[in-house]
Amino acid sequence: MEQVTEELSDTDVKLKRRKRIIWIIERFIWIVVGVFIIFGIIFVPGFKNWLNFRNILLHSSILGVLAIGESLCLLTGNFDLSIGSILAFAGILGALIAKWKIPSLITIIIMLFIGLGAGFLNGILIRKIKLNAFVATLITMLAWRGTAMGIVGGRTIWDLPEGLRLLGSGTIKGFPIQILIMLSLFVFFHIALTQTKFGRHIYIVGDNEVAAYNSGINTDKVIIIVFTISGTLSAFAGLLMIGRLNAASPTYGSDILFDAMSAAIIGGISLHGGIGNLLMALGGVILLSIISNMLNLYGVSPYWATTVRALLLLIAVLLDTIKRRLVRYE
Amino acid sequence: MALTSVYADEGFVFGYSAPGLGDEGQMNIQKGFEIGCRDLGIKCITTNAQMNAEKQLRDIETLIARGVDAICAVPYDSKAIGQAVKAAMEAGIPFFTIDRGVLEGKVVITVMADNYDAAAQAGMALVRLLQGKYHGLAKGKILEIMGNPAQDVAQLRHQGFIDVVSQYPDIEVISKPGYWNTDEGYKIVLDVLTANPDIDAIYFHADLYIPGIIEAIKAVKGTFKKVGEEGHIFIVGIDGNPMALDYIRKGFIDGDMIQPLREYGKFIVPYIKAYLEKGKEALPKPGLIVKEGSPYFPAVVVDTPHGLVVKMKTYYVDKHNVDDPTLWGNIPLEKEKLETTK
Repeated sequence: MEQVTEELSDTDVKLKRRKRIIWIIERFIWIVVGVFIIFGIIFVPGFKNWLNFRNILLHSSILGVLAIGESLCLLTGNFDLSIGSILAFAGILGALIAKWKIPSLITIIIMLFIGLGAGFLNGILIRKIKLNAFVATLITMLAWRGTAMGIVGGRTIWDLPEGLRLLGSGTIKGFPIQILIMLSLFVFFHIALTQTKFGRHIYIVGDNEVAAYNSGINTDKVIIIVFTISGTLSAFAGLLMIGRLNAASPTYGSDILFDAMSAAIIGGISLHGGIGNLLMALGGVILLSIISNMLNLYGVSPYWATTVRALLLLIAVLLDTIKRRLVRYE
Repeated sequence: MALTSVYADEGFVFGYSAPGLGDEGQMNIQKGFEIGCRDLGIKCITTNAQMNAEKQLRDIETLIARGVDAICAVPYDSKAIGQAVKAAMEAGIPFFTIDRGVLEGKVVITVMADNYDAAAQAGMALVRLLQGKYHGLAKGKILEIMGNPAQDVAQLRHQGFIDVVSQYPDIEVISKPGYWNTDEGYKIVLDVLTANPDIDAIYFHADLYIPGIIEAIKAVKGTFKKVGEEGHIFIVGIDGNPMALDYIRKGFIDGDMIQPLREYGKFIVPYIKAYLEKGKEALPKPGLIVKEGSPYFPAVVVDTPHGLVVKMKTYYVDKHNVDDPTLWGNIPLEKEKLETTK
């Protein structure tokens, strides 16, 4: 009798330990963020300052909005390469329309519809034309960027109307609106992802598309909606960008794709789909922002920035593999 | 294999190889060349290497195969372009470059701006402005927003500036790379200005940084103090596009070094034509080229192992001369023609 009880508690202990490990890994990004903050406070002059923390959140706002859309695509087992181009195109079109004296509210709505349309197009190309996500979003990435370039001939549109810039550069009692918006969007989509049926469908499709389809889920619909959301969020990020810079250029968002994907993956969202959540992505966004902020404050050679990011991405991908393997055994 | 021109009596055909046409600078440089050709009755074929050194080599091979009379390129990679130069020479097609030089091979003429000199002039301008603020003392803190530090343009614009400013021991410079990205520039100003509220001046490598600089100052300080107002941060940089001139007029930035982007093409096309018709004697001689009324001259001509190099001057513009009609930023592209300064 005694032996049986001992065996049971042995398995119990192992399960408890595995659960604890998974708990840590899922929140690992926040542990890393904590470490970096402590490092920054001790070693980086100017870091320990409320205004600097606000600046870090300002670094995060546009990247954060993009990371939400990209994360949703990643969760379904796809990815969106066109986010930067949609950002630029929506920005350029919004600025042009605003210069024609169209009221700001209507301009904003038009910009969001452009993003919606662009995202919907991505979804159709992937699910109905059956291109894979890489090819489809690569094509649209080039197309939107090229169109933005062509429309303005490489020129920047500057000096934009107040109303258009409100969300990107406005403040409420001194606190930047763009940060509030970014955080609200994270909360909204996190709840949508974890508490709704649609959110569950996203995970099921990402984990195993065939099983999802066989269990009656309209996988096409799920993926098309996810890409539509990503496109709309990219256009919204474009609105924030032109708002905070008070100018629109067809070159905006050229390098931000890498950061958005890095943030999601470093945060813990799996490249294979089905694993991760938006709080992880937020952690990844905050971490990247802390790093870029520290590099601006500290006199490091600019070449180290890329190396540090590459190392972190490597660590994150390794963790991702371990986590996937552990979860499989549950 | 020597290729002779197919259009022997129909006029010349020039090939233009752009490294990329995705930014305002390269578009204006290309337009300058195109306008030069157009006004002399020369046909111009343009290729776009889309920021890829290998594609540029293939583009130039295409131009060679089409039998153009001359090739003018803005090298994407000043070393890799050497292969293209060699191929063109073997085909009997003279090779020219504008905006950037070559580090391998020998071309007929290179026309470019003196980035080092532009940076030095910007440095002098800021020293003067600081002296004005500190009652004759050259002291203060300058934030430098660099381009991509791996590129020679950014390196020259950094070095020219530093070599001037470092002669004043009481001036401190903080240099950060913006990688030619407006939002990166915004973040740099945000972070550095918050940590160093005593920044007196900002020096930027390209006009594209301007909107971000101004908005970041607003975000950190709460308001933006214009030129002449108490608490104004001096802002000086390089390029000279219409947006920068507008900001100078409105009193947001202090000055800008005008890069004669359209002039490279407009200057070199007549020389290419003359070289094809008369040979070496038509080339400019080492020394100075003076052109009355043009702010980009006298240009310095130097003979180098990589060919003849013509370096045009860059020109400091502030609120006093911002409305000068000869500045390219004040001339819409549609109105551009070959002889705009006479």
